[in-house]
Amino acid sequence: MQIPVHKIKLLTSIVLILGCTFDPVDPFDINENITFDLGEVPQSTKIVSVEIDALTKTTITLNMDVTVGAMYTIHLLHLLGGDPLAVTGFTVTTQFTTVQLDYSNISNGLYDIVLIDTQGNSTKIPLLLER
Amino acid sequence: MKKLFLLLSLLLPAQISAQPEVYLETNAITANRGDTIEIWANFNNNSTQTRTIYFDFSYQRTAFSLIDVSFATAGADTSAIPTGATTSLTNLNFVGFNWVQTTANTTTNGLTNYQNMQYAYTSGGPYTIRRLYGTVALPTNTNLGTGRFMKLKFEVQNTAHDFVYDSLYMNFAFANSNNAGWLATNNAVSTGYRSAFFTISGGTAEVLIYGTLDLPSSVNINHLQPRLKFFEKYNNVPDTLRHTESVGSNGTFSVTPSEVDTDTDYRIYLSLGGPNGDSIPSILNTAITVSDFTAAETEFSWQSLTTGNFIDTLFTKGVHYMAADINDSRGFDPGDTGTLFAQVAGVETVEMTDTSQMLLKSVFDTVSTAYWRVTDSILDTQSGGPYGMDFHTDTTATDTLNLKYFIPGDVNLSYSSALTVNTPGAQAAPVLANIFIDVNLNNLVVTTNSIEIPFEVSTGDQEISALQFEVLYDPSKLRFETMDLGVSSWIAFIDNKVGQVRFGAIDRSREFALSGDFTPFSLKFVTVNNPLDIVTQLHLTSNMDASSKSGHQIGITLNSNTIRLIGYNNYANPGS
Repeated sequence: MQIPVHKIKLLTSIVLILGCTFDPVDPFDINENITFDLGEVPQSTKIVSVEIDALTKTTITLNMDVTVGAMYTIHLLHLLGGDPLAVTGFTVTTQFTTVQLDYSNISNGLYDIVLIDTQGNSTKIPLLLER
Repeated sequence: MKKLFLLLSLLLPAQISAQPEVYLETNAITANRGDTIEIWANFNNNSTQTRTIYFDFSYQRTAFSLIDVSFATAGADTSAIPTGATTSLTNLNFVGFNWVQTTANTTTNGLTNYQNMQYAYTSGGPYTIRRLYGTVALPTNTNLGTGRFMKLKFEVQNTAHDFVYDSLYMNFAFANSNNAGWLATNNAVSTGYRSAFFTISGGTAEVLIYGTLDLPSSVNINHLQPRLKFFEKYNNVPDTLRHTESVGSNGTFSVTPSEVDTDTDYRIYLSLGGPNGDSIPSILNTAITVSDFTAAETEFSWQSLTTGNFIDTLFTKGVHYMAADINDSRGFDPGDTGTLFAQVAGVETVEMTDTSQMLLKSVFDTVSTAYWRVTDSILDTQSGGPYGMDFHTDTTATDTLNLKYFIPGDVNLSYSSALTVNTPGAQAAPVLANIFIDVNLNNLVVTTNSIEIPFEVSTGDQEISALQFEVLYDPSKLRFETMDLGVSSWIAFIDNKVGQVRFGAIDRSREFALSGDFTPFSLKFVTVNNPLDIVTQLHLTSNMDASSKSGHQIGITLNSNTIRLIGYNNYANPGS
């Protein structure tokens, strides 16, 4: 079977396209001179415990074992994934760090709290919000 | 001092407490349609202060309806729950989701499996995920014991006679304790089970034909959609479609007297890709990858200059040549290798109707490299040719029909039936067993609009001549721009669709095979919205392939099949 000429042309064009490079314009106007400091390289990304404020049941206290000087982000997620419902970033000043999370605008339900470091390592625990 | 206490409190539970255990009490239950089935999830406290157990189950919702979840009676002899306890349950159902098993999420530690959970979603799909979050409040100085904890009660639905049942899976179960938080939890390590199979009987119609279609372990049944079409023959010509029988996920099928007639001639065809063949292009892209081309071209280029015969170096069985004969010329020729290369490169040149090549298992496994072109050799045992099969139904007895199939161009049979090789040590396909290369993918903190994803390859001493991958991305967050090629002497290809990019490269001349550590590809994306705020993931599909310099398929070991992209603001800002 012969390959149709138009398909050969298409294939050639695909290969040629690879030789070209784009110089994408940044429409978000991020200053290229800004240096984004990612902090120390994380050595530990652990959630030690979680406490739910017994009175309000909206404030969550997360106790973590993390790396001093490193940056982390905490995501509140639906059980099977998707976009985060709440995001909290922080830079660590002590190895055993406590972060208070205000989830008063989150409806009752079962969620995952995910702690993610700058290397992409993560750990998670379940969170049941019942008020 | 405060830190010291905290440190001790962290270390002590790990040193002095054993792991609790959660397990299913049984792994086999027999029931009739319409019956209810009860299965217990049991608990071994093992000296912990467990107060919550978190479960994830998957099962066929079309076959089993979960009608009740209850706790064991507090204080009963068989119960893990002591007298005076009170219980509460959160019960969530995720219809259409199913657990995707990986090495990381099928361990005996429920907490580890939770950390590495993966799901696949099919709208209206037959499976469901059931999350159960069971909590107990206990009297002072009391803990859970060992025994029954939670009961799941199912009702068996009235499924078709040939419905293919799957097990109930406890994907994870792990415990939360008063003093040590979420615990590593054994799932059926010392006793019990992590899955249970329900054998369903009753209401089964008489079966006239029972059989199997050999499916590869990698197959996605919703993708392949194998169906057998029974055409009744008049004057030895297949004329009227009498019945279409779907093949189950385990490859079995059965046909009743109400579906086809007894003592009648039929010709049976295998149909793939759905009623309209909509999935055929995707099936071909999954089945035909770079190592199919390298194997075919290597076999073709090594043919004897003196006799013109192939020397069967990679194609050791007739079915390899049959799969390579893409243009159906009943010969293996340059048109086949050219078409195969174009297909791999993203130009969909391989043609496949919804009637695929189906052979009797006995023919598939034994047809030789010398006689695969001789039609009569197949018709001797399989009337109807390689595209169909003539079959005469008996009057009463059940016939058994064991079938295999191949997809045109899938010369290494990666998405076709596997060859059964009787000779120990004989090569079943153009594949180098137990040879793997490593591919490393790294997560990124996003600080600019332009994102570059390098694919770092480590082959050791193994020389490779082709690579391909497929990446899924969220087009509402990312736009694919281009690919930088780190193997400039190879011929590259990209097949870019919305949310999906398939790419690779081939050393077609086989003169520039590479080994060691190198970066053959870097994908470049731009963000749709502010990059500093982005949270998204890229997923590698299982549609990846690598070929050795000799043209054989070799394996790929990924450090991760997910690349996480998180914008800088998600780390820098205290809340959003």
